[in-house]
Amino acid sequence: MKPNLRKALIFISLVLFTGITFTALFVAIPHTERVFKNSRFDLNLKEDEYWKKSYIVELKIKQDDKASKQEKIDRTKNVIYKRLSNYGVEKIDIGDFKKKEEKKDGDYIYHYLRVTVETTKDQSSVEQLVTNRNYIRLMTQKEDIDFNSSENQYAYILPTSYDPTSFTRYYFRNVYVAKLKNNQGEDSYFAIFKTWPHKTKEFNKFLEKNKGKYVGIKTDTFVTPFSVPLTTSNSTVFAIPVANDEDSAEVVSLLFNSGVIPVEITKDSEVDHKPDIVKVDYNQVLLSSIAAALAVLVLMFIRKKESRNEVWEFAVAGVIVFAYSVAAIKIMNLPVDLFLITLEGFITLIMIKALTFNKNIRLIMTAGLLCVLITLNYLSAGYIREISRDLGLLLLLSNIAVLIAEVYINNMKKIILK
Amino acid sequence: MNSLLIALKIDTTYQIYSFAALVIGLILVSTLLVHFITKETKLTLLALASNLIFFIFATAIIAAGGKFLNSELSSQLNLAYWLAYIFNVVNVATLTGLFYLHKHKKKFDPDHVTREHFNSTLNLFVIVIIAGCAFAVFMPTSIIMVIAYVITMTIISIWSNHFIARKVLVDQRSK
Repeated sequence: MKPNLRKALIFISLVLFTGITFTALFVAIPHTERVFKNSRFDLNLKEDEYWKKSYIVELKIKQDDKASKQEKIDRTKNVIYKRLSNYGVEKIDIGDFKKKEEKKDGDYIYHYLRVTVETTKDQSSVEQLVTNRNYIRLMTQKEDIDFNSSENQYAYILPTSYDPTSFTRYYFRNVYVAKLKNNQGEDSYFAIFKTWPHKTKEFNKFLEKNKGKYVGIKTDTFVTPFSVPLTTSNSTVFAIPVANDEDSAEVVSLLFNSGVIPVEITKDSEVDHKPDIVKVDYNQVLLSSIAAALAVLVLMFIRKKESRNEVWEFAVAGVIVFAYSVAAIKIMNLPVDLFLITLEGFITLIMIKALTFNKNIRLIMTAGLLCVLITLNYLSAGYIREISRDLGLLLLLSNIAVLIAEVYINNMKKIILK
Repeated sequence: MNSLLIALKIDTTYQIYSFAALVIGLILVSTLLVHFITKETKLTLLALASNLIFFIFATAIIAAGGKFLNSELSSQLNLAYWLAYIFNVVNVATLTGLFYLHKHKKKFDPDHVTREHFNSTLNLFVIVIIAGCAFAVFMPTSIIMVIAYVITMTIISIWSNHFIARKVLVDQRSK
């Protein structure tokens, strides 16, 4: 008998695939990590990392701006929300706050905001985003101040050592935070200030006037000096060092680029809260998924509207998606919200069903869903952004799984029914 | 209006603009995609109507419950709002796909397309209810609320899709 290489290869591939899928399934189901003493691959749940806090911030509005008070308050709320949502804070509540004892000052009106956040993000970064105004103003060195004097070694960062100029954040189109080499040859993050095209000429004149001198960027309480080169041109890069690590650089970028808070802002107080996160048990989630999948399978078998082949393909595709996605999450130790995974599981089940039983229009369905999910990902915030990103990946995995399941069932049938 | 802002967890004008941009973006993307695939004006209008009906109904239902929602529940319902929208997209994508498939056949019968779509709609309806109920048994109340809202909105949107499809694609031709 002549050996059939193609059949042998198919047989080996089927055995290998079955083996790998069973291993992935074994990794994916709960409690299996207890079997191994040396390796841990339990789900890394985010629910214990959540913290919730309310910040009361004080807005100091000039009496002269009384007429535009509400507009300034609204702009402040917008900037804080934009900063937090772009940083990836999961839940944000911003509202007005009435203090029992109202502060009175002839020149200023005081208004309070309560910003409540519930997130797993770094606490100090979130606090910076809520409480820092980060108002930029360019300063020039005072004639009588010597930065090299031993009497005041910190003169170069003190606002009192500089004279203010009219250049503020409004002169710059955006502030690009990029990783560059510093004077010591080490990687550091720099803020590169890009002017509006119609302001460039004026800004270049300013640099030309101050060439060889120190100018500074004042942000809230301190100044970062910048030594203007002796020869300046239109391509002179105005960049100041802002951070040493990526996370701080992201925060700085958000502070610079989320809009300008129009009033002075300070933290008044903060209150810790118990996070109200939906706690779901992984065993429950798995039971729910199995119950849902079984219910759908039983219905299909009873109705007999779909072919047996397709029903088996649906079952195998479901197992593939579940096993490989959860095993990947466990092995890569990715932090996850279990209640989000539950909802994603529910939607993915319906997506697999739609893809399996509408093979002719699979491409159109995938394209449509993918476009909608990408739009949702780019234009939404918080959990919706997370869900749309995950569902996009699960949709692609479901497509691959449905294709594999089709080939797998056809070949298995040939081998088993031979 | 106030209860709608509470239900959708909208505190700032930036969020109102973001929400509007998201809704307009989704309507544009899905409608243009249907037009690009089928080159059929009626189906494009159907996709547009489906989107509008979904957003009007989903927003109205959520706004009706706005007064009774606490922060936790409104954040869960906000999630359900978009999950229900994904089911609506699945349903419209099925109709678009079926239309595209049948359009290239020698005997194009829109009645056949809508019947097949009805079959698929019924299927989706039954599966969403069965899978949703099976899921809900083991879940905490807040997730059950999400699933219940998703099921309600899915039923409204997919039935309205079928109704419009019959009206636009079949009744118009038979006149």
